[in-house]
Amino acid sequence: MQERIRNFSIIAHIDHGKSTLADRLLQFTGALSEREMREQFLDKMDLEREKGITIKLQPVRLKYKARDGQEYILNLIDTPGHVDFSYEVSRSLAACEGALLIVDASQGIEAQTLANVYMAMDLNLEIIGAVNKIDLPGAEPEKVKQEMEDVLGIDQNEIIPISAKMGLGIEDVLEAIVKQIPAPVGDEEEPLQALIFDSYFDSYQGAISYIRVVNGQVQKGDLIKMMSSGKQYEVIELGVINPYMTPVQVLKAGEVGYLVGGIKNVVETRVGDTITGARNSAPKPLPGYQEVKPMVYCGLYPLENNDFEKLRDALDKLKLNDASLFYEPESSDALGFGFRCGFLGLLHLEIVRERLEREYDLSLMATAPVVVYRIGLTDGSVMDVQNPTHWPPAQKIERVMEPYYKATIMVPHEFVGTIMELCQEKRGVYLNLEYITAQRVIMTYKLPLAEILYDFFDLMKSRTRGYASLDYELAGYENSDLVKLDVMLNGEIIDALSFITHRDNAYVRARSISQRLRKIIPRQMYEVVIQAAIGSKVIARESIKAMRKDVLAKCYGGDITRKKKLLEKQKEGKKKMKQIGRIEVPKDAFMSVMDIEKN
Amino acid sequence: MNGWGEQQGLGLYLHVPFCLKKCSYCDFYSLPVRPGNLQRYVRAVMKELALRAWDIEDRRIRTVFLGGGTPSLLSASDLTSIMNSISFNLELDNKAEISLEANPTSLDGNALQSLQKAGFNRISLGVQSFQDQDLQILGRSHNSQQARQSIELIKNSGFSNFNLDLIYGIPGQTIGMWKETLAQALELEPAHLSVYLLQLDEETPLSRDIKDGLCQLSDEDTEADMYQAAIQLIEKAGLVQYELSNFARPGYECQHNLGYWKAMEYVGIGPGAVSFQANRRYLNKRNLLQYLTCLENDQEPELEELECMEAQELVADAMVLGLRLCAGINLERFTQSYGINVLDYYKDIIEEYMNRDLLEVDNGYLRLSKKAYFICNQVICHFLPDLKS
Repeated sequence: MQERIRNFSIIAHIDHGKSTLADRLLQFTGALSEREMREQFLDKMDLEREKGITIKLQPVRLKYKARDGQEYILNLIDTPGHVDFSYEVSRSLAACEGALLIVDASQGIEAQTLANVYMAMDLNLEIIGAVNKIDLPGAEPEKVKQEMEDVLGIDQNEIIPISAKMGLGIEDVLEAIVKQIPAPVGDEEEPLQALIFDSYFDSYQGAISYIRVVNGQVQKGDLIKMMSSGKQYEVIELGVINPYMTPVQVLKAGEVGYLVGGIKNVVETRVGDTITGARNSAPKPLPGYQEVKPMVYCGLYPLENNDFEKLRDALDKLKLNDASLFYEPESSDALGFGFRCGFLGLLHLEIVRERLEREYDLSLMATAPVVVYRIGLTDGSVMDVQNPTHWPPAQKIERVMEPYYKATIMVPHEFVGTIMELCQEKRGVYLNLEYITAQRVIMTYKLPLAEILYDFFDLMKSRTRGYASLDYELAGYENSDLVKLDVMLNGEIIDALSFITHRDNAYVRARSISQRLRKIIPRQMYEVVIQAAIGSKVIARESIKAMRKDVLAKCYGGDITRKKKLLEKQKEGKKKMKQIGRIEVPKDAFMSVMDIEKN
Repeated sequence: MNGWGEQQGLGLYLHVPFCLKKCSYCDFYSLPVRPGNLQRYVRAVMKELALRAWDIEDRRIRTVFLGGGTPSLLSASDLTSIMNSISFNLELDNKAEISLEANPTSLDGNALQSLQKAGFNRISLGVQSFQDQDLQILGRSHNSQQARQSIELIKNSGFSNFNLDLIYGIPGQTIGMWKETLAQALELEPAHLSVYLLQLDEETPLSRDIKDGLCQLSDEDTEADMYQAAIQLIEKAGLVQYELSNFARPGYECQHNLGYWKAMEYVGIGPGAVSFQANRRYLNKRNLLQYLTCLENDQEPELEELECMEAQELVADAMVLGLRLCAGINLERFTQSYGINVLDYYKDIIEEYMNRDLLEVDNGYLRLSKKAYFICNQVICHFLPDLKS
């Protein structure tokens, strides 16, 4: 049985055509009829479909009758295409024996792709290369093939030219999967070891895990155990996805499917965990499990104070489906009651925020995202700070550490100087530079995460006209000369606007935040003075002149209804503002400390 | 609900939807004159008056206002016929204020004398500016010379009660030009002055020119300075400000408009005219031909409902309008009319804005403080109920 199974992932940069190729595979293998087909079939979230980006495809089982006359089962297990989710990528890859690498014929390899391919190679996966979008006028498949050979050591003669859009080369891809990717080699007689590579929450069935059975087998009715927590559940339903959920009685070593166990949230079904039998347990879990920790924090506050419970409820519900989301109540003088939330990265943050607003009809204010700082205090203790409000007074601080990331930047060689300059501006430490082809360079720098979050990505993209790509991974904590900057409106510190910055950047950042606030905050009935200060020392000042005009000059019989509507709208508009003392601050102001909207 | 004014009775507004030429900033309902339309219009209006007399019953008409458009485009004899029709069909108070809006290009001395005989006792003249550059930008068909001549005519015809409309914040207008316009206006000794900040509806040609970058509105600070300059100069000349944009010699306040601001009922006649009766505002549809056809067939003109208010919306409506008056809202009369104590009903808002010196309670009146006038929306909007979604 196992020799006719092939488990594979698709590794591709955003926009390099992953979803379209998946659609073609579904069509070609007859998993879907023409009538059932719609674009981006395996994209699960509306948000993905809407933004045209794929974070992660739903797994799917395809039946393919190969040229050798045999029928094979192909399990496509996707990897999320964003650096925020690189741990999940590693677990998805661990569930496969091979990976299909898709590179856009006009773009070439991007840093993120490279990182994921390296990860696949580390896991000993067989890599099949394909150059996509060969039908496009700007396509340079030969050049890209050469690059793939030079950088990744993939024999360019074996790289398959395809056009997922036009349906070219699809069969070649399927044949390569069958021929090149090894069949799984698990032992059905061993105790069960199944890897959870994804899970989601269904309001009827609870947490549903996507699993790859590595050894042993699992049957409906079995009592199973999560190896990280020891918690036991009964298997209520097992099945495969082809591409609809189809129940089966048993899943054996090498197979991929879903498991329903009456589990009430996805925290119990963490990605990377191993499922084993409750009675006949495996001695060891599969390698590589770790609990992912949030890297980025921000405060989320309801614009309407009464919506606090509604926000809690919404977070509780999202958490059911998102084990990596962290939150705990906090309060702010300026914003009232809200939650400090932790995320894997900025994309994760944005997705969560957008879903809260969209699916739960909340209007939210978000404070600027911050990293987790580690502070050594004079009394010898160490504290983690993920909210600038909790920053201890200067005299109690002995040293401050911040997370550094190893950033891999791929860039055409003419931008090497540009990137070096940028990395230096952003407190980067040079590690390495490597020509992968005559035109393309991989640069490695150690950069503070805070700088990457702030505007590094935007600047990198704009200064290289979009040609540079970036990947990064945690490199550890290092000492930094950091200070807390407070922002004051009419002399009062607005806690939600405080942020942490390197001392060298403090003046520039103080000035830019003050100027930005001056533009964002509309004229009020009184003059508003904006100040930024380190401790008691003011280092930037701006002022917003008092409003002088807000009047309906004419209001007579024929026009009263219309004029009242204008006033009603104005009153409604005030609700979109946060009243801080007597100052009406637009809700976006709190994000403006770090303008992540641009990302 | 007939407001909280001291007098009873109705205001009567008659809309004359004709202009020789549309001004660049105007968003009122008006049309070019077509042969025969004026005569049909006059007959239709007279018929509407007769029909509406039924639902007005025997209520006294306190004020009459012919606005437009350009009512002075109608001949003196047409205007006389309309006045006769009003007197014949309705209970017109013998001391009623009867106003006619006029443009400088459409007045002559004989006509003015006939109008006086017909009962008109107030003229409101759309001067807008005494600077020809301003008048051109506004697309007015008169110049400042013609304006002065018209005013002399009005005065010589024995109209002691006349108003001049002036506009500030015109693209290209400097504060010096504005003061000059004010000075010239005051020299002519009007009983009443209306000074309006230019505020454009998006659909107007001037608004489009601004969008296209052909000209530019003044900035907020200049506009505020112009407003302050107007108050200072006009009051120095002995006129008293009684509403955000209106000034009068004592005793010459526009009674008709005071009716609006005291939330009193009014009846609108003619296409596009709005009525406020009981708790409803509605208008005769803005469609001249449909209007004419209906009345020529002895049918009432088609109506369009604008709003139908519940008790608390009526209160809010009256607050928003009443706070435009410099004297403010008479709290006792307000309670008599609406059955609520304003200071209790709006306690939080009133306290908040009194603390900020933007509202005052004095001698039985609630009013905006002077410094709140030009930013009054900030205060007034809070008196409205929340938007129904």
